[in-house]
Amino acid sequence: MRSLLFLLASGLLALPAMGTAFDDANTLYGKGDHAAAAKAYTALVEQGERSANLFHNRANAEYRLGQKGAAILDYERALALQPGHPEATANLAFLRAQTAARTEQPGRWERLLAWPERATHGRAAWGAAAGFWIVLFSLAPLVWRRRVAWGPAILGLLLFGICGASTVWEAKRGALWIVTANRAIARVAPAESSETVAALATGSQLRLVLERGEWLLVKLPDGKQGWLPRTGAEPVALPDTARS
Amino acid sequence: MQVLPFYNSFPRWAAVLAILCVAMFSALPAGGAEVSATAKLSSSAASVGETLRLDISVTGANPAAAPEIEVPGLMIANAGYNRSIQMTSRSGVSVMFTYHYSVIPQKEGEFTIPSLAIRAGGQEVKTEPLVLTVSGQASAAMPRGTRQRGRSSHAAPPEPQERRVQQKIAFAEWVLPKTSVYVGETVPAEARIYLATNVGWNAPNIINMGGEGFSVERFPPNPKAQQVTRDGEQYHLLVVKVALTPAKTGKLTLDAAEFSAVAQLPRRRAQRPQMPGFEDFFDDPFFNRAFMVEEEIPIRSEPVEIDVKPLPTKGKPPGFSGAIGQFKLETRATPATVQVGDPVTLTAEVSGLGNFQRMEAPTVAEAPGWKVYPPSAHFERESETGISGVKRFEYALIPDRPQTALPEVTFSYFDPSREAYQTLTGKPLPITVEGSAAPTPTPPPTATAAAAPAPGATPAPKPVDDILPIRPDAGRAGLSFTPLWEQPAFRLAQAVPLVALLLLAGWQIHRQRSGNSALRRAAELRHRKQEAARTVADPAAAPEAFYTAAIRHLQLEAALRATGSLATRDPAALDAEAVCATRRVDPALANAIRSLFATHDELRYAGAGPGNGDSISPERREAVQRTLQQFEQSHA
Repeated sequence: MRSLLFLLASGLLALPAMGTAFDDANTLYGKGDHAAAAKAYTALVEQGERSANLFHNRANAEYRLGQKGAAILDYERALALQPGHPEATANLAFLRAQTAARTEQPGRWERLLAWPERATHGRAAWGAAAGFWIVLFSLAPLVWRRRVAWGPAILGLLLFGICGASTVWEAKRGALWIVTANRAIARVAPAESSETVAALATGSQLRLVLERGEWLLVKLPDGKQGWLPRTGAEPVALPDTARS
Repeated sequence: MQVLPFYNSFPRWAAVLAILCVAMFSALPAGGAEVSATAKLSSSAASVGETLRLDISVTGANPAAAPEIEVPGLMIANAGYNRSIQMTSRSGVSVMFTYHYSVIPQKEGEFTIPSLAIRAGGQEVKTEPLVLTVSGQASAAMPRGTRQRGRSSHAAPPEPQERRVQQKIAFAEWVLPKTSVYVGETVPAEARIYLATNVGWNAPNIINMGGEGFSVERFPPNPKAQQVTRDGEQYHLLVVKVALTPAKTGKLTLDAAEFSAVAQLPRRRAQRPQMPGFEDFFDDPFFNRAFMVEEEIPIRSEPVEIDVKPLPTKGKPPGFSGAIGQFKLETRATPATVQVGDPVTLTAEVSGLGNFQRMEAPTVAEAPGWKVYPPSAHFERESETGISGVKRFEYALIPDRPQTALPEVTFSYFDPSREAYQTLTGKPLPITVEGSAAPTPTPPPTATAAAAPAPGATPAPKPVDDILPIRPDAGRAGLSFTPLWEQPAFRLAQAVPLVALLLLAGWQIHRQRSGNSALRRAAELRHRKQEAARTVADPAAAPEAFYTAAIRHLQLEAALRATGSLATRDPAALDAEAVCATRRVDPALANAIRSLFATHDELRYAGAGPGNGDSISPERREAVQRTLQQFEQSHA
């Protein structure tokens, strides 16, 4: 509880600082100093600020600097923090069309599984938890020999099943990474001399399978697996570093 | 035209091959679609009851349907069909359909199987009529058991003299599409095992298949044996498929295919006199099962000599891929529009029949401005033996300057049917590569100019296709990339319903337990009240016992209806006032109750009272009972 209060308090205290620094970065961007703006946005990110608009604006600055891969990565981050962010969605589509980046093409079952996550903007776990507790509360009267509320129990079970399946599927499919290098070659083995699996355009989506030293084993959008140098891609999810 | 038997039991294999071959056949200039039909009987002479085989073969096209054959005196039944491939040097590849029929003569005489009209490939073809002479010697009269005795592919001891046809109980053979091949060419082959149907068999084991100088890829035998007629006898046919690839030139010998199978054979019985009328009984296979013995039977085919020719050096293209067979090449590329530096995936699909395992990737021509990476390869086999299928090569190409077309793709192979090298070229693939030849991306001038126009300068026109501007507000801060289910707040939140559930369960259980104890107490009180009522109603009861029971009745009745602190008190401790307090009693009843308590106390402590004698008057008894009844009926 104490740590929770601390986090709340530090967050509230940090808000004005974030506001000022964010405005300063926006001013730099408006003046056309995109490099300085990107640097200012990055400083905020390094301080632990996590806001969809922050990543969106940094992506814009990176795009202006010609860093399409980094821009796509930050648009993805903005969408990860705030699914459906309108500007990030539009700008990401615009960039993907420019770079011919490969993106995941889910099948029918995958789309069906992903629907609760998408519909709830990544909050299907709440639905699963609610369904779970509804089922437990409905069946609890069994303990004191009372009648079970079967209607809510079935509804809860459905909610738990649908949202739970979506959550588990999302958790199991691996972390999303984005190719940030201009030319990334996925290989059969973790060696530069190894045979090529595919060449990936910057901004392509990958799913991390495992990390080994300076190499990543990733699942490509077409379902194949290949080894990629760690320098060629970055994860969408960033750790929640403490604000300084 | 040499017809080479290829497959008898490859339905899927043959279907794929047939489709491919028909497609290829239509593409080959020399492959004229000549359709013909033939009919063949296994023997032109037979006896009544003997089974013969009739094969109707259609070459060059797929027949519409199996012909119906009816000949009076002959029982003709359809026994299935198979498809096979003909490979000839003149017309390339063609399909042959063979319908099998079993023919059993019903009576002696000379029969003619008429010319049969078959529709195939949009035209009608006819077979030649066949003549069959049937003699009166009925082989069906032979004892059934005689066919089972100790036959193997090696030993065929003399059998009863009336047996005309000697049956082997097991044999094997190699079936190859051709015996003259090129080195490196992959040839599908079959080792066929025939096991007599009138003998019990365990699954055969493979002892040897192959030969020096051959690479043999073996595929598991089809677990479903097919029943076929061979030389007029019924056999289970098991087929082991292999892909043979000769690794050196010259006359090579494909060793005999060797198998062993355990047969359940009848035990040799001593010669005994035949009992008239019981010959069939003792020779019946069912009877013989009691005298079965298991015997391992070696099964061996004949070796096959194969002439392996070297590939010709004349006309060998520089980019020869090592592929031998008949192939097609398809190419495609994605995406159609890219920026300089973005990779393009070029896919080259080689499909057809041949040695896919040994082929190298098609060649992508060197073109200025294209960097070509080594391809990945993926093979999708369309047949069990892997001789037909599609091999897909994916190249990554990166342009370093604007382009309008992809480099040319060529694939060279050797076609053994044409005995010549062939070179296929992929269709030209257009592409739009935009951008400049500079390796680094161009800085975006337009938005900058729009954001900070130079004083006095004309503002640069804003491009139509551009990203949306930045957001001026920071938006909701304090978000997290951590998945929801891993966030502490989410996990902490689960404690709320958990605690609520535990509290609810605890409360419900407590309520239920307390409710149970109250019920038990009430039941006990009722029981004791009934006992007291019985004593009150008893005319022989002594006065002290009568009044004690009456008081007890009032106390128990009061305790049953009591609430609050009175409910938990011992009923015996309730005095007249406490008893009256549990009900709304009228003053007269209250006085009667007080009087009753007083009488009881007098009797108990002073030994005096209205009934201090040996008995109580009936009027008094009745008055007391009325008081009890009125109290019982009074409302709480």
